[in-house]
Amino acid sequence: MILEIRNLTKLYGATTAARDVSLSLEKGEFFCLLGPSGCGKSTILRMIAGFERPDSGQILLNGVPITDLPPYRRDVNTVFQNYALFPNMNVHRNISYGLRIKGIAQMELRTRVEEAIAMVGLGGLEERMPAQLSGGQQQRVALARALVNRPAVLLLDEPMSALDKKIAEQTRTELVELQKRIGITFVFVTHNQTEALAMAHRVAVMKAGVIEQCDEPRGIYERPATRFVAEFIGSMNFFDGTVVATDPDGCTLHVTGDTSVRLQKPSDVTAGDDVVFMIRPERLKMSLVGPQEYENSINGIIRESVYMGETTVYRIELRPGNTVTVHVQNYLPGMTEGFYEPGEEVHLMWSKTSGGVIRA
Amino acid sequence: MEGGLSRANDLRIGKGWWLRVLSSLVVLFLLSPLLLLMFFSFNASRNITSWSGFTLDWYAVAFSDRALWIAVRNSLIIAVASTAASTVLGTLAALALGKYSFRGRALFQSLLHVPIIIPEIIFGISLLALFVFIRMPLGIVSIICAHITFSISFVTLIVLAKVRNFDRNLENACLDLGATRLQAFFHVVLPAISPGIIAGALFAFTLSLDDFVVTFFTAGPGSSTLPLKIYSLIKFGITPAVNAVSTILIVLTASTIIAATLIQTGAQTSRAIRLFSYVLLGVIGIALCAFTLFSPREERVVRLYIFAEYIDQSILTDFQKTYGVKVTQDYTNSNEELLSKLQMGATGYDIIVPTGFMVQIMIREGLIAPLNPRNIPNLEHIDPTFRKLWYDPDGRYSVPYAYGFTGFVYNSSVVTDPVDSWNVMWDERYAGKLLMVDDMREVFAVSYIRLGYPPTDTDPSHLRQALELLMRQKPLLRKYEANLINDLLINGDALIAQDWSGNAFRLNQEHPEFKFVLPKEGCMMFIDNMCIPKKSTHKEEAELFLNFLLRPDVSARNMRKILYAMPNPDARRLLDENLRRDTILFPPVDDLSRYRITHDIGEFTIEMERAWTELRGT
Repeated sequence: MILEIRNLTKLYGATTAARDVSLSLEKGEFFCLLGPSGCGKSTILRMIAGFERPDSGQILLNGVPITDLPPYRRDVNTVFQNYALFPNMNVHRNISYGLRIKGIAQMELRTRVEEAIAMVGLGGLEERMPAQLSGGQQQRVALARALVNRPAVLLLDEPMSALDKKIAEQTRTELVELQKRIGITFVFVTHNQTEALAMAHRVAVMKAGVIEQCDEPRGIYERPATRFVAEFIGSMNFFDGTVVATDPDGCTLHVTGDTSVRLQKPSDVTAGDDVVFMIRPERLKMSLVGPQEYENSINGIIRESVYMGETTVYRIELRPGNTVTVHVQNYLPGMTEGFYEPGEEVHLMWSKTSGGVIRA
Repeated sequence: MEGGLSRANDLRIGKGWWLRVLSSLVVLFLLSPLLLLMFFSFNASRNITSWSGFTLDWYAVAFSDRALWIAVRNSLIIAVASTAASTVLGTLAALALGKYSFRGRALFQSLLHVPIIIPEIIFGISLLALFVFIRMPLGIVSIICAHITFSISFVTLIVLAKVRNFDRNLENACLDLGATRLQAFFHVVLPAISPGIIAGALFAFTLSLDDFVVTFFTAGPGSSTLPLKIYSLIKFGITPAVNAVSTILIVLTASTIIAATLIQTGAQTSRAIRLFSYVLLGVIGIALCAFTLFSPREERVVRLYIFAEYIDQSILTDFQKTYGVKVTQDYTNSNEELLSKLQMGATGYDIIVPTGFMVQIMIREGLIAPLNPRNIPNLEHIDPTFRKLWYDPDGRYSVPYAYGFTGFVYNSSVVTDPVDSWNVMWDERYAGKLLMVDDMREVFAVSYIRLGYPPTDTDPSHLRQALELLMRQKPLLRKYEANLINDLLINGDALIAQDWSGNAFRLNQEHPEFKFVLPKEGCMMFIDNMCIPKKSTHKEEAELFLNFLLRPDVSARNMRKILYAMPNPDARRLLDENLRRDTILFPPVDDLSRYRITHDIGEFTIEMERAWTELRGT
């Protein structure tokens, strides 16, 4: 375990930036803190870096408490959201700053800076000033400036948020490859769920200073532990329901009145519990004809369709005041344009392994 | 930027070139007074309205005038010290305000605006009150403290703007990379806010160099600055020598600012220009240090509080050579200023130079000390008529120094009638060509003399009559003028002007067609006296100096230099023929009753001021 956070709490007046947060990271892990702005994810990063002091709790690096150490005594480095490149120094001096401060010998310094520059692909730009660089180049300088110090943990505070979408996507892949190659533990803060799911080994979803769920990307998406996580990651349909019966394989529910739903997934609910049944819009199969090989189905009327390119999003009214969203791939074989029209009655079907329940 | 300037402007006043013309005009309007001043520093004539040939003489005069350079040196010491202190303190305050939140932060920030908002004069008075209360001796240190108090606000607010814009993450990035807070400050914070610090420092420097009001109140002996000295020169008229000094200062300040700008633009400018800027700043710095270091200290000293240029500088150095006592000068502007300074408890002056009526007031207020005649044997050279005058009946408190008259000057090449009466100032033939001095007492004195009242009269009905007489004169006047009387006469804008004898003498030397008249009805006379304040700490040295001044050869030399008459017949005998016999400088004074010596009119001044306002306002 390279980094361990124990019961970290930090309050700013009435707002909670972190409440009883505990995490442990393995060496070489790419860990992501995900959440909306103001959820406290950046504060946790800043407490690890040493820019903020927790009200209570402990941070251990390689098993040694660092909670009370100043930033310059911690073996961690940060890539800042706006990169925070020193405007009065050129690329080379920016990157070599940490080594110069530590008094690394000239020879070693040169090799290490050259390595770092090559690693992020900045060759030839050594003499440029930060103001003369593009956003992507600046981000690489920030990355090189941190990595040249070979920290135990690299902290990245929304490093892609200032880049335009295309460059951000390209950088994403490069960053994952870089991390795999150098094996340094990354703690990556973002509000962008796609980034988090695509890059991280594990993701912690935060809300109001509390970690709602910490799991691998697949677990976060497939088995959201709370309604917040389910809504924040992707989109989700919710049905209020009651558990009718349970068995070793799963359970049977009644949703939106008396529609019976079979769910074959382990859960800790018992008969009679009020629950919320959740199912992703892309897991619902829409059809004009009745149930075929699916265990569960419900009827509704198409109220709206929005063409999104890859998919079309339909809003289906099950009954007055109760609608669900369905995503349908636009390139399904045999589908023609305008196949489903608003006003048509359709069947929505899903398998017993789709969806999940949480307590209401 | 350049592209932006040439486009059609937002005000839609034509194409870009229109905007350029307008901008140039604005810049010209801002700079033309300075350019004119620099231009006239090369003028051969001492009058600033007419050009009479190129000369560098005034620079020679300025460079050889030690008193002037002492004032420049004082100004620079004060500016450098107060700038250094206020820049450091202001920057620290800005960092505290911009980076941290603490109790009373908002209050502190509002209080910073106080020195900027408060009228400067109130600020000056309150500082003087404070310094006197805590018994801090007035002098260079007190002026520096005063300047720091107001400069600090400007520096803080300017630097604060930079600190607010400063990205805190830059500092964090430093710490993150292993730098301590101090290293982070010098590597990143300071470079980022340095444009603000430089701007603030330049601002503080110019504020300090320019300041008159606050300096005026907080100055003490040995600390007169250039602005104080220049203002005090009003008594004799501002000479192109001051223009020369000002030109040097303008060039110095402008080079500092240009050099600072070049350095700040950093990477864009060539290495050579930057090198040049550093060299320039270095030279300026060394020059400042040289001035600052040049400040000899002597134990025995006499501190003179006098109008600028009212004593021959070489006498002071001779006195020092002979007796080993140094004489320093500070500059006063008026009797009233002298009085208020002494009343407010200013100490450290050893000799002051009040006019007759002020001597009377100061004796009454107990501000001046009686002299010991045994220490001043040279008093025997003084014309007995000038001893024991009404304002000092026993001659115990004052030694008459110099005297002069207020008569009128006329251009004899145009005005050919015999003129010997004040009536000519009401003569309609010269309408629009008459000048009266811009001085309430002098103007009313003429009116009173014409009416046959003494100028010391305090009867309100007589004042009314005098006002009516002046009201009749006013349409005939070109204007009331104080500083440019000679210039207006030379230009031909005026033919006849009420004038002081010293002024008239200088005019007559250059332009003999201008004659000075002491009207037969009588005229005003002033006698300046030397006195020793009660709080003087060098009374013995002061008396030694007075005795030295009265030595006939010294007094003669002094007269030759300042061109005012001194009541010292033995000295007068040593003067050249033309000077000795000059009737402007030495009109017959055997019978002083013809001349009205200015009296204090006490509370009646208020009445007269009301009448004066009425006269000037309508």
